[in-house]
Amino acid sequence: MTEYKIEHHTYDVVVVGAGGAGLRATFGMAVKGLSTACITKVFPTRSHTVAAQGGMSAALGNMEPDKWQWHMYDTVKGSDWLGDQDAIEYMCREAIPAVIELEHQGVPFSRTEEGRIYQRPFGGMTTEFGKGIAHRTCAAADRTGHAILHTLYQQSLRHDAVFFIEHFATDLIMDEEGVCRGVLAWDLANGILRIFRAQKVVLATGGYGRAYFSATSAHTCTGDGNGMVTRAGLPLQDMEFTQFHPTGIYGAGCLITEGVRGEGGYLTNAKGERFMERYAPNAKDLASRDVVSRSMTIEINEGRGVGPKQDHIHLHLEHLGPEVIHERLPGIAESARIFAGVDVTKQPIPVLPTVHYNMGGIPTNYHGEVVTLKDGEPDSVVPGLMAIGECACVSVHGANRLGSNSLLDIVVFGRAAANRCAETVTPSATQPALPEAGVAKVLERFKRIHHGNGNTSTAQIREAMQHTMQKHAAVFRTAETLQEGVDKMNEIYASFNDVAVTDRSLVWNSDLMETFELANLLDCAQTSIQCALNREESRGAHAREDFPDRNDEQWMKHSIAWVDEAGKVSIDYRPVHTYTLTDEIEYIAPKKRVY
Amino acid sequence: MTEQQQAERLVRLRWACRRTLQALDRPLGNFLRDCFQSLDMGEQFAFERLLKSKDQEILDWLIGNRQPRDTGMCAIIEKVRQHHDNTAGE
Repeated sequence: MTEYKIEHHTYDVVVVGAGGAGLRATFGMAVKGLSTACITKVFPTRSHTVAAQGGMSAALGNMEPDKWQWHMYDTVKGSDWLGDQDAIEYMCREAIPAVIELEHQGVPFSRTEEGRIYQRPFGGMTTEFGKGIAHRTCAAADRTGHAILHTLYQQSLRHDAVFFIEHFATDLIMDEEGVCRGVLAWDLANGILRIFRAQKVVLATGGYGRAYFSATSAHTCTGDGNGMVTRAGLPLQDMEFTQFHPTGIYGAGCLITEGVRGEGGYLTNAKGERFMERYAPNAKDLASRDVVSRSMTIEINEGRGVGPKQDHIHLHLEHLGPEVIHERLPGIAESARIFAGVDVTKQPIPVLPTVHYNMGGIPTNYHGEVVTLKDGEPDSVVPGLMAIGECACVSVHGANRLGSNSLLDIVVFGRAAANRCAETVTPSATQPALPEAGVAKVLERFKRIHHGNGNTSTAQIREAMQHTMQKHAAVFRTAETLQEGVDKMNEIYASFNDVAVTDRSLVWNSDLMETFELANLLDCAQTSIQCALNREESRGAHAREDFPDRNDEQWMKHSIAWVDEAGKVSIDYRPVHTYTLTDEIEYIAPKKRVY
Repeated sequence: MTEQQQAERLVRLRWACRRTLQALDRPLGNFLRDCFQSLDMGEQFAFERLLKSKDQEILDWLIGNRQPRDTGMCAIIEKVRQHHDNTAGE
């Protein structure tokens, strides 16, 4: 391996990723006196958390009485009972101190007149177990993610954490006993490969929205942690659950708010037909997110999409007139003009159901420790490895996440991971040498991909994957369409063996980095579509036309999926935790989910 | 600036055009690819300053909700917007 300049580093804890979860964990560890490094492929304040607008839920009760038990009920119901109730209890209880901590750390939350943290209502958040509307979501104007991210980064710098910025982590270093011992990262600025040795590696790498053609997530959301975990021989959990927003601008990935349809905007297909009248005769274009997304997808699949590829739908505002548009929908006209090249007073906006959040990911317990099914034990902890944030599946969101529970998730579990490390890691303990075989394996893989000299470009494979996932694993799911998608994905997965990396440089080589990212996305896509085919029921965001009901008897369980090197997926299950953490709340038994 | 320095600068700029708000990737990336080389030096520096700004600010400027105080950047924003309008649908 003389080709590469290699440097070695040793820390108590290495955190991979510097979004909200990664930063909260990083500075939490540093505060506890652990030597901590944070590896991130983009500058911390440019992580995707920055884009979160809505807010962070916590039953503070600042506007009217509220209880964490009510918050927990809403989260369980939102999850369509697939969430683990011990973890949900933990999150909803800890939400309250977590928000207060953020406030003390300097997040400028919006205020009430009395000077308390202002809380707004949000979809699915109720009081008294569904009776009233809760004001539970704390926000810093419409820049909550931005404010939280900047505050956490400041805190990390205050507390001596070491940052490896613009470093791309490629693989976990595992030993023969299946213990995670470190991670390999490529320094994008100078081509040095850094081998990190750590007592704990914490993955906080975010979602994998880029596995789809249309996603709200940044180009950085490529499931890097998920990919590393599958290559370490560990499973991913509940990968079939993906949340969609119906009206993303075609090809641009930014959202057109649902408020547009509230003001009278409507959707049409290639024939100019207002097709929502057929699917939802009463609510029409105002039906719920999943219904609208599914109807749009049926229209496209049946050949009535618009555009040269017949792969999107039109959203009309022209009939509203310029005055109404500019008065009630400020910003929409400008966004549509810039990102779709459309004058909304004269033309429709091209839109497409757009991936918004991945509920599935790396299975963990509520401490953030990665777990797996091993020797019949479904909660078997993987030593040395933790995962937090969107890349993890604790599971608090189950089959469907509620708005404003994701900023909560990252802060609460980032904090939990730090607390757990303070209990389990001895500061500056002597670490044994890294396992040679484990190090050789990850270096060989780096070299193999770096020298990829096949015939298919990274962009070609990525595009094939994104279109296949968009068409076959989006909101409309039947055995037939999914099977077709699985067959295509198998071919696409195999085509990665023929990938061509044209640029051999190791300095700012975006081609090579995108190839590593693609490998990670392929693992996510492959498990996601196969688990979707496997789960023969409808639950939360996973809606099967051929199995329209939830089936608790057979399917009240987490899917876990392993991927081997050839891309073959094997699926098994972990039970849902049907117990709570304390006797302050009883297990919430399944009911039909109606809003 | 030597040829090699210029090449490295371009690689660095291409990297900086990959944003968190992906809506910005195309307008900035296409402008870099198609127009950057023909800008005068002052404009090139203004574009580099633009890339150092926060995503949300760039978005606000591009959409026209706000204007940067830096007049060099104002001019560059206008050019980025024009080029994006001309290449829309690409």
